[in-house]
Amino acid sequence: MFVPIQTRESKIESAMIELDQLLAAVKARESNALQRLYDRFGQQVYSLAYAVAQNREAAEEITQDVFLKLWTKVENYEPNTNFRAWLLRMTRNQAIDHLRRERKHIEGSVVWVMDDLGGPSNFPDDDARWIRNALHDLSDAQRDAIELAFLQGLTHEQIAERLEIPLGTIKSRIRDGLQHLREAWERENGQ
Amino acid sequence: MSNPLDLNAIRELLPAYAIGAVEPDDARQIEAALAQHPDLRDELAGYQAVSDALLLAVPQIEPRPALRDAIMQRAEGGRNIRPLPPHRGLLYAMAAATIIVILLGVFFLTQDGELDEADRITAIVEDAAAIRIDFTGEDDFEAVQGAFIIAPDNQQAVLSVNNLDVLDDSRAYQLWLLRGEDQRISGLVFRPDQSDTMQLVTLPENFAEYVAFGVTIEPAGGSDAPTSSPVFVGELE
Repeated sequence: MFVPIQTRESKIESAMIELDQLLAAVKARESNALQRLYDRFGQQVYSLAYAVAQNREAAEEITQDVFLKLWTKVENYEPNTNFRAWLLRMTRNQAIDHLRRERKHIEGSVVWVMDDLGGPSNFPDDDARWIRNALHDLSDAQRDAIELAFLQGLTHEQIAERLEIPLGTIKSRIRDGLQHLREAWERENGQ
Repeated sequence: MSNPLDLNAIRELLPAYAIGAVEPDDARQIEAALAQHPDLRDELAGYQAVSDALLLAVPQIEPRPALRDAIMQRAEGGRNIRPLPPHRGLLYAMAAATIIVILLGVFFLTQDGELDEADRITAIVEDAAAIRIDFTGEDDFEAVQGAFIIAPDNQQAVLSVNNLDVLDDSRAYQLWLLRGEDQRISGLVFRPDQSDTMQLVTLPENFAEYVAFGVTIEPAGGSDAPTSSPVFVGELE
């Protein structure tokens, strides 16, 4: 008997339907749905929390807070938008708030260093590979500035003060680096 | 306050805005421009996609299995937090710390009020439904920046400020809440002992009628009305 092979598109559609069902179950306070969401996204949430906080205990606390927020405020998620991005944005915000509350300063860049950009198995899926390659193409100075802004929540002025580099230089590094990443995104998306 | 930005300058700042790297005042100008220019919104969308991709570009680390259990316990058991088993490397430190905790027990019991306040501040700051109004310093206080974070029930707020001058004993900062041209009340008198501070503010019952807030430097103990130029001001929506 012929069994049709599931296409990538139909796999994505199945995953989205399953996600919608899980979120509806969370709203109905079914805890096994929260477990499944944790199983699916927990490592990514924890990894991002750790990348910001650079501390396992803090990363665990932040991850708990994120999933508890998901449990109690799932209605804040706008349907038919990128759920993973929404969850990880919430994680990044929680983690940066943690850094600010603890008044912790992570000195220099510690995540997007050239050594850490290797190893394809380190990254979750194909969605991450193009951005990893694009980060690899940036200069160290651009990558460091973007990391300080993105993973430590620093503004232009704060980065300039931290690195003792003129404000205009920091603005250029971040702008040029992100423009390069955007060009890579456009190529990845056939634009 | 920064200079007004023209469209070219705003366009140049869009990438940084997408990752939250611009100063609060520039962010406000960018948001005003985005409301009026659809082409800017289209351009921003590309950088927001990059920002979302950066969220994935971190090394993946497996969390401990106990984390899953802790999350489910919190979800199923309300907000009672059961701590995770400690990492092995912390056990010796915890044994020594136990003695110190016992000795400090009386001290912490007398500080119950301060711990409750810290919890309340954290709860408001972390509340996704809280209204956040960012501000920067006026004139001589340009380095000052912060946010007035209002709890959804309008009963309390957190005044979070960075880069304040630490005042001598004869002076204090005073928060004013303004309801009209000549109608103001004192919201708080505070003397932080460091330049970054978070203060819990109890709001008046008719807080929805207030239109602005500001902080001035006053004699210690506060004044009946502002006697100096504001350190910072903000508009309440």
